[in-house]
Amino acid sequence: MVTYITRRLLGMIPMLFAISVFVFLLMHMAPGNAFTAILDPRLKDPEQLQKALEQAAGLDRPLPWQYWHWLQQFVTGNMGNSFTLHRPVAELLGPALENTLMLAVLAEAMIIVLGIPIGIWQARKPYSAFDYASSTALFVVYSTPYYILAFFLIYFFAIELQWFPAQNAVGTGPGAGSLVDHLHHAILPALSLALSSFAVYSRFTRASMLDVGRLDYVRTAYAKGLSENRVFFKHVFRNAMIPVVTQFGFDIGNLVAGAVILEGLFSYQGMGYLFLQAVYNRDYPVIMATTLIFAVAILIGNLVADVLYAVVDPRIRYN
Amino acid sequence: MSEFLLEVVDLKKYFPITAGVFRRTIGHVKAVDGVSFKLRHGETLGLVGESGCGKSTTGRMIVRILQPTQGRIVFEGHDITNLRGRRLRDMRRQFQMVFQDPFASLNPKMAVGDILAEPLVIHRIASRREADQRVCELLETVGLRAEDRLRYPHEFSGGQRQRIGIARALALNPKLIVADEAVSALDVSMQAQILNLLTELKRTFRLSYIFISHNLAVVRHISDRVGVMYLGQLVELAGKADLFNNPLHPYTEALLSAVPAPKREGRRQRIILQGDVPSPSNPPQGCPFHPRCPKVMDPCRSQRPSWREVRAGHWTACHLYEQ
Amino acid sequence: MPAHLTSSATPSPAAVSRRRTVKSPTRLALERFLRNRAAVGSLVVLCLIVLASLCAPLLTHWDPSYQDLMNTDSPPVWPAHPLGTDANGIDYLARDLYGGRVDFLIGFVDMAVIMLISIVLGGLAGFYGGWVDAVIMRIVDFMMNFPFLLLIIVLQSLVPANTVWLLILVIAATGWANITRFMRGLFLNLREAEYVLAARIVGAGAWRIILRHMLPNVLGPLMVQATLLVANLIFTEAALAILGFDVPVTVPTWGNVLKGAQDFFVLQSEPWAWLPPAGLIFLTILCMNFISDGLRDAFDPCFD
Repeated sequence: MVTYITRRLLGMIPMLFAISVFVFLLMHMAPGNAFTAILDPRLKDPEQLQKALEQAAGLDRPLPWQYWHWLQQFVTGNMGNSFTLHRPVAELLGPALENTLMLAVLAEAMIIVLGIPIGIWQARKPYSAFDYASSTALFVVYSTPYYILAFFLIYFFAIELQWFPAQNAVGTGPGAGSLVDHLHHAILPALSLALSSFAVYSRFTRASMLDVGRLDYVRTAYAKGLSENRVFFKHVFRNAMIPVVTQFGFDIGNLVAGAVILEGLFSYQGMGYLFLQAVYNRDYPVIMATTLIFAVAILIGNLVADVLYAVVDPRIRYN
Repeated sequence: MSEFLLEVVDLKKYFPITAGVFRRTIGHVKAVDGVSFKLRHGETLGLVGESGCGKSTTGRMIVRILQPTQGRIVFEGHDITNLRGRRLRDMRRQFQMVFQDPFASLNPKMAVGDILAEPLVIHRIASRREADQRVCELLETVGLRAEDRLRYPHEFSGGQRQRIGIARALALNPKLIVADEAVSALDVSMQAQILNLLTELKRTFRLSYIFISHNLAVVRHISDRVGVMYLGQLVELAGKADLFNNPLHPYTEALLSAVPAPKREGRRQRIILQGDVPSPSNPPQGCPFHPRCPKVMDPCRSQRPSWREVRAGHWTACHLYEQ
Repeated sequence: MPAHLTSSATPSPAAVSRRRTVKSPTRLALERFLRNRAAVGSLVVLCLIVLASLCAPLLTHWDPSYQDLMNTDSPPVWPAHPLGTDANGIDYLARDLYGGRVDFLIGFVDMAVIMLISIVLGGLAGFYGGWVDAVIMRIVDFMMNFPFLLLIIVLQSLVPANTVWLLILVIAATGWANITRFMRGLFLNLREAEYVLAARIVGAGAWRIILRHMLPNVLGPLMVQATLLVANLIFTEAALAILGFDVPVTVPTWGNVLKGAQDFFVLQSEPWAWLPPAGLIFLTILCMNFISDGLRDAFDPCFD
């Protein structure tokens, strides 16, 4: 297992390298840069200022040199300075990462707390009225894009009821920046993200529980006189969770994509928001850093899924 | 024309085992480890052995869907071991295969007529109308009806499907058919029917068979000569009567003793082998059978016995018969 | 062994000759599909939406770019502007109807292109395995981790005319990885299937095997994926619009209309502006999901 994980981690290096090269090339292929747009008409010689800024950022050098320079700095842990926010990228990433993690953890927690129990409940009495009604309702929610859910949530909870804020990751005024404040701001985007995918989990759980419930060893467990609850939780539940558990790792990709869209919609200052702002402003160092962090998150997520798979299912061995 | 239809010389198939961070090859599964035999025109050679002994792998190498690691396959004097592309495709007309599982070996989405016409189309043997004509003939040859060509595989029973598989193998008028456990998935009454069909076809079309099976009774019924495989190697090869009446190799003896005798011959003592078949990734030194052999001697442990013709037409690899 | 194979495996020869039409497994699956009420109902609703956007000129006389400057920001007025107008006086109903054309164009054209790419690449990877598979899968991994928003933005700034076709191209260029990975898995499963080996032995080449032997046997999952893909593409179009990376606002798309809801004033007090496109997107995706469910059940009768 250790060699397997090592191999996978080593395999990420060329992948991340290729992604960084491509992102780098793409960024520079587009006409203009971060300094084209900030020119102030009151300046005497705007072009000279632009030149000076470009020179300071090294944008006048040949591309390979720029890439090499960036790579050298990046490997030693220096991600450069933001072109437009005038702060080190690392400083920007800190709070953004925190906010996105808050969002992701909250969303994932809602998914598990809502999704898995509903799936189990459905599987206990399959084809009952509850099963049909809840399955249909979940199917409808699942088919609603999360940005549309977000609009409805904002409409009801932010505008009509005014329970939760619809913008920003932290508030202003007293108590701003506390954990409660953070949670308060994260709830609506997290709920938008969770609602559409918790249906996936409950469907998955239900199908898996039913599959396992049909197996011979479960019948044997009933036959030897175990109580329904005991069979259900000891024999069915544990094995039925195997496919569900692996879904967690793969979810990271969805969470990343969802975070970019929802953070944009909610102006929630997380990684997705930072990335979008950087893209609007052609802020090269920030684009590079956020892109690579997203890629690492997805790659690690896939690895975690595969490893979890082996951990919960002793039949699987990677070698 | 060569005296032999097929010559297999020192055929080997090793599958690499990899490990570690960089997937270094740390060993091989020696699925087939040096098999040699010759097949005459019109002959049926049975290959028997336990599962995992390499008999199916051998069959698949002969029909060239597995590339041998080493060794040569010579068909009518042509070395076909490394043929590729067009020349391999042309050569394929000569040797065909019948598979074990009649439910898996027919494409469920193709009508039977299309399955049977496909070889003709690929090799540009027949026009559409001729192909249809030929398909009808083929179906009747294997005991089905011409109308069946419009139906789909799921509408047939296992035995009927196996007939379709045989018809497909016959479509190109091959000289050799490799039958890989061709009757093992069928119930006994059906087995007999298919075996009789194969025997009849052999006579009509002057076919040769390599008949791979783990079922001794079936092999005995259909074969002219029988080869016994153990752990990727041939341990004994002889005419049917010779092999079944006078087995030389201790493994063959043990294998035959496991067959319940239909008549009260009472002559054979059941030989119970100790231990399990060793892993083909780490076969024993010397004779592969020595850890379980009741007649094991010193040289068996260190030297691999040579493949020799001990009596006329009776080959074996065993130290008991060296010199 | 699926039950439908064993149960009908041994009809008497007489029964067979009496039956006139022979039904292929694909045909049987489609017949099962047509008996699924939810799926067929969804298909009907979907056809109605497609039809409505194709026949847009018959349903509204407004052009989706005409600015009725006398009636800007109008609430619904029957019959002039049944769904009101936006700040420029453009009729919302016209935008919703014509917007469907663009969305379905993106959805179906990109679906076809992406399915084609995934069949070719997935087929090659699955059929050949080995290094061909390794190379293709590395590219797939790369694409799955690549921030495709960036690619869209760069391509949009490189190509002067930011049109629907550019968006279609960009989505196709970036959206094929997931499905290719899925198709490769399907093809790889069939690689050792005996009927595929049998086809190799009779001399079939790579493309014949991929297209005639493997493809028909993955038709069910393929159609399921294709419907889900259309739903996903319509989802993506609106998501891009909300982020501001869609086609120009002047082009009517559901996403471009929906995007108005980002203005909280519109969200709160002009539901006629954003509810219809939201409803159309939702309904289309819901129908596609029901259809894909129906297809899955029809092609895989064992599936619960």
